[in-house]
Amino acid sequence: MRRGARLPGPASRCGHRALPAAVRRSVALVVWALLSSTLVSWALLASAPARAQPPRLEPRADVVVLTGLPPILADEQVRGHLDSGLTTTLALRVEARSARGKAEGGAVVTIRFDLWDEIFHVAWIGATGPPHRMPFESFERLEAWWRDLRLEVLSGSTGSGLAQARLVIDVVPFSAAEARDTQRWFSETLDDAKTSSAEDTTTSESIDTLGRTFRLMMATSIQRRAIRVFRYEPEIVPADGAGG
Amino acid sequence: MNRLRPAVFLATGLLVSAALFWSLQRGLSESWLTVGVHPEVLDGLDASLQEQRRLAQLDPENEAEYRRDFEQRAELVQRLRVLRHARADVVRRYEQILLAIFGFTVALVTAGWLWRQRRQERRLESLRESLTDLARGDSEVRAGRRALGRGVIGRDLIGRIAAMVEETSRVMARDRRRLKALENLSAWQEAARRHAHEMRTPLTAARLELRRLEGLVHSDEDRAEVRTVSDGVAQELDRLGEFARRFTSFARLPSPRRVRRDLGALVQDIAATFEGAWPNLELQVELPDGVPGGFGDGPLEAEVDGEMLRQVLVNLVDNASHAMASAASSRAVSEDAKGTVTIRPGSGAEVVYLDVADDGPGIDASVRARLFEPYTTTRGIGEGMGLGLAICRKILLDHGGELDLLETSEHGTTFRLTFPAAFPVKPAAVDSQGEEMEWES
Repeated sequence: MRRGARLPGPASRCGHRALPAAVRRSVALVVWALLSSTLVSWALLASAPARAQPPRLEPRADVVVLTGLPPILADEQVRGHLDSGLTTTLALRVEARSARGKAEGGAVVTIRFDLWDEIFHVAWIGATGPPHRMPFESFERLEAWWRDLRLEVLSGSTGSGLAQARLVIDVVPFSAAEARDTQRWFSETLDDAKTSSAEDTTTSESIDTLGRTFRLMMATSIQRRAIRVFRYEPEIVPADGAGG
Repeated sequence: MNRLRPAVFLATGLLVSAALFWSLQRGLSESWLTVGVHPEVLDGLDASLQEQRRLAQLDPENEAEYRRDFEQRAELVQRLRVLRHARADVVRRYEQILLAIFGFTVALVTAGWLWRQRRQERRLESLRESLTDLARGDSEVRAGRRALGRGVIGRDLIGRIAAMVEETSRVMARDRRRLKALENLSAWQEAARRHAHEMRTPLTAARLELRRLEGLVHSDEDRAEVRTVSDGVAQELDRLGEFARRFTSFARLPSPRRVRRDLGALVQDIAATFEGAWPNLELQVELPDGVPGGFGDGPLEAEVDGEMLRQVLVNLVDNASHAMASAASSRAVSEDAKGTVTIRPGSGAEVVYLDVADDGPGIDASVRARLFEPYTTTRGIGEGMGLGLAICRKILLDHGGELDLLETSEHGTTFRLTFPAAFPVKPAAVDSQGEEMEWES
């Protein structure tokens, strides 16, 4: 062995070479990023229960009340539709199981934005009681009202001994009356198109009958369908109100 | 496998056309609705609504008017929004309707095609059976009727073949009938010839013996008495001789000397010659289009023996005259009452004909079936031998034609004389002197 030659370090001695400083810095950066993102996620999850708290079913003497409605009005698709001027229908269906068996109920909430006055007209009806109406001047007030809304969704004594429940909210973009009106208008528009294109020709009765059938079939294709469906498993709050 | 091949081709074609139709109509049906509910249209209408509101704020006095316009436009906007929501359903329904129409059309076409295939097969089978019948020698094969059902012969290949088979069978049947008739007539002619011969020999001997008998009487008184008796016998022998002569004339009918003639002109000549020959009837000739002997496309020509045709026509008119006279006497009709015999020339497929119609009492049903057989007559004993119509028919058959009883009823009788139509005149048919060539059949 020559004098003055560098002796191998401990790593070299055991068969490993020392990591370069740049690599070590990168690894440290990745570890730090992972830790910080974990902390942020934990913080978000910790705050989540307050916002994503499930709706609650509160059995009363002869009804079951649905409270703590989820903030579906703020949903992007629903919110974008609410001020269209059409009547948005929120159909709430509740299926519950108790010791007595299966029970079904629900409620309907309709929201129509008056384009001229810029007011939300809301009407709702539960499983019992008369329908209610109320105007709201802003979306914020509407949303606040929705959060605090208490809907009677099951009637009778089905509330006692509720074990499990399911809530489905269908958001239907227009009412049955609006659907019928559009069907009629669509049919008339098709008829106008046919009449204007055949002004100079004599159509036979059979062709006219076929045309009417075609228009009827086309118009009746306009049906109400939900644009969004929300599903929840409501929390069942005992009768004394000490829900978890 | 061969029978499946068209079905496979059809199914493949249908699938390809359905796929093409589906892809094309989808592009069309989606595009028109996309244009109708385009976001820019809705944005424009929304902007218009906002303008109405702004106008109402700026011009409060006319707010009601602005609001009315606003409501109308808002209504349209809402309908378009509903349509936009239901767009997928509308497009789907439109596609379903188009597909249903397409499917219905395809089903209809397929059903029609299959029906036609089956019909063609049935027709071919019928045609095959008809040809078998024809080959077997059946007369009057109705190939067209069998192959086409109620259809019209000659529309397509099978129909044309069926028509040809039917026409062939008709010609064969007609020839068979003519041959049989000629054979029968020949047999009758041979019998008539023998009868005439057998009658003529004893008649000659009887006449000679009668003359010898007169020579044997010497007394004038006896001679006068014998002559009176022998005159009576001679008259009877003459009558027998007349019968023998008629037999002979029937047995030795000459072959026609056929010459191309204009039938219209010929019957007009005959009618003019015999005008007034029958006091109890009037003879008429009806030529179509008012052109003497012409039918628009030219004269009605046939190769006929004019003398024989005259003989036939005279015979038919004579029969009609006798029938009318008998009817008049039995009904005690005035002798001045006249019947009418009308001769109408005409033409058919490769034939020309003369219809001879009278307004007499018609032919008795009992003799219709054997009307053209020799010795068939409705006249009394000694008034006729019943050879006239047999001779007429023989003449027509010798011309390559036919004599038919078209109809007979209490309102009259119509005979049809049919001749093969003469081919168009060609230079070769005229000899060097420019005269029509003649030949014997």
